[in-house]
Amino acid sequence: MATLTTAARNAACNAIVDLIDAGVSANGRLEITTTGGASVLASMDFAATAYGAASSGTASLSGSISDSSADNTGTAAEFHVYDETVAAGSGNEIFSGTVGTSGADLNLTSTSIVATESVTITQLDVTVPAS
Amino acid sequence: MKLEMPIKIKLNGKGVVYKKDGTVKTDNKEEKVNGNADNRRS
Repeated sequence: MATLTTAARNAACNAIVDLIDAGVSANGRLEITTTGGASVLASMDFAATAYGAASSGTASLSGSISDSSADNTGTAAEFHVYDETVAAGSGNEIFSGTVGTSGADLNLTSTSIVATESVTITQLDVTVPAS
Repeated sequence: MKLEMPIKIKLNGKGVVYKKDGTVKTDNKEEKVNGNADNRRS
């Protein structure tokens, strides 16, 4: 079985999360959407340097990110991470994942988001496993 | 020789949804009872 060293895991992880900082006109962006991305419920900017340096194959957010006023009402099912605001027309998706209240890639206290409510992401670790 | 190593990242995220009054919103359906027992029986 092939196995990655910790140095290789860190390098791969840093390469992935650094893509979030690569947008040409704005910081990276996270959008929480309904199934299939049909409706964007909440959207928030990453810090200019979205993630800290990876350690043991895991990179963590530079700090919490939030949307103080959700855009739409609906049931959160997915999130998508871009290198800048998609509305700018040039955003590239870096990775995406599931949203739930447990067992999902991003677990919220509630998946029921109502427009103008506040949403804060406190953790979104990215890990490149050894195998 | 065959070496397959697809990189599958793992994501571990947590977030909080706040109600408009600033309290944390959860999907737990807890019934809050207002009023006295007699009213609940009526």
